[in-house]
Amino acid sequence: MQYTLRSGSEETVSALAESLTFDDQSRFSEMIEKMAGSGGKNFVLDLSNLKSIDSGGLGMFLIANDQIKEGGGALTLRNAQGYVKKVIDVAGIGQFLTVE
Amino acid sequence: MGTLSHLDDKTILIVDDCSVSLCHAEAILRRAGLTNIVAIQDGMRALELVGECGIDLIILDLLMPKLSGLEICRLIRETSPQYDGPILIVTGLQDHERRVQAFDHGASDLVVKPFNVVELVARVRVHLENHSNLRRLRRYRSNLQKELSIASDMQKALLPKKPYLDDLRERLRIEIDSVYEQSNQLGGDLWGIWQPSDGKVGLFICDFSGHGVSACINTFRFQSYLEDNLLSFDAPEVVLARINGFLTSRLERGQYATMWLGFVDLERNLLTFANAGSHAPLKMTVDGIEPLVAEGPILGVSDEIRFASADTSLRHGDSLFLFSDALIEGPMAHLGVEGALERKLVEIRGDPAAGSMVEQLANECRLASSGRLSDDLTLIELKRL
Repeated sequence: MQYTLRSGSEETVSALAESLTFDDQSRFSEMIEKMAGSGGKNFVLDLSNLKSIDSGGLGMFLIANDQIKEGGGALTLRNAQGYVKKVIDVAGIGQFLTVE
Repeated sequence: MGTLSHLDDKTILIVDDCSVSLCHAEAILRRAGLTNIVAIQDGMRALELVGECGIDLIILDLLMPKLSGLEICRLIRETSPQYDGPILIVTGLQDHERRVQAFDHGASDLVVKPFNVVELVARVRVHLENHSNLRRLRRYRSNLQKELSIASDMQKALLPKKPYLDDLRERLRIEIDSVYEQSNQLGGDLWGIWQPSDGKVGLFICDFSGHGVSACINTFRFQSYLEDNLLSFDAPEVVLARINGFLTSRLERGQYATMWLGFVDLERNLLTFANAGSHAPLKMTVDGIEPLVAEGPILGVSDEIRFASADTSLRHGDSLFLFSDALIEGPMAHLGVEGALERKLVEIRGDPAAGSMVEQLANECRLASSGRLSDDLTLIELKRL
């Protein structure tokens, strides 16, 4: 997993690239901590360049969503493409957090 | 000087044609605390001893008449695979070329003669400790492997048994053909079939996130829950909601399950089904292939979810095909493209000599992943005869 973090006045966006799998767990949670430390409340994961994801990756979205909610914030998944979009849709992730 | 007394259960073989030097090396090691030392002057005898008794470390002198230390070293490595311990070669400082060759012949390290007592004891200690750790790791790995293999068999035993499936075929004219393979010895996939009441058959496929030990444990939890709660018939969306409540209270954060569940009413030729985040199974009839779509999110995340059900006909001659993600993901992603799996099934079914459809698909998965599946694979074909 690669990511690029950008903090704006409205939202904190992390653009994920390549793949998100079980092995990325510690890197992903470090990233979420950095996002949460930015001081904002609106957090976005931009998935435009994410090519693949496994069940561990989806689980990480759910954990991040819980953590961010507990801190009074909100998590949005944005711009998923192709296979990643299909996985998110089939799993009905939109019922648990915002998917744009 | 360092001590070797904590390694006094180890056996050392010292080979040197020069008795003075042999006695010197033996005396150094005994003084350091080792007690099991076999000191011999004949290199050929060394080859026999390696095969006979439990040697833990060998010290070979480089220069010996009939067989040099290098030759003995090479022969031990080539002809005594049961000996995997360290071999130290004793050389003079001036033997530059042969010192380098020693490693090509399988030596683990070099010791310079005349002996520096501290250095000899230190090298012996390091190699004995390393080898001992390596053996411990190998033993641990081998035990773990055995445990995993037993657990893997236990997990496969959760699946419907052949006599039960034979009985379904005889009594209800329902034929099941299936493949179940864990990617990592233990898996997160599970499927089942049962009779909730006369004239009805329930079928499910389920996949817990991850595909290792934790996912496997969840399949056991789930199976015992199902045995206690799924014997009676209810609408599939009600059953899914109940399972979702159970899993939401039990699963760790970030864990979830996908599941598709259907009930076949054999008299009314009707299949009622509900889905929780699973890829839609396919219904195959003489008229074509259609996905059995019902909306519903994954299980175990929130208990405030409602599931919807849908129904379709399922007559004699019709089949259902249920599959886990591994069939359409990773190396099999080409079947994940819209309509590709349907085309593949048409192709297989169009060949009367093709045999089992699920076996053929499983073979393709094995080939595409070079024999090592990246995710658990479950394929089920239910056919009404």
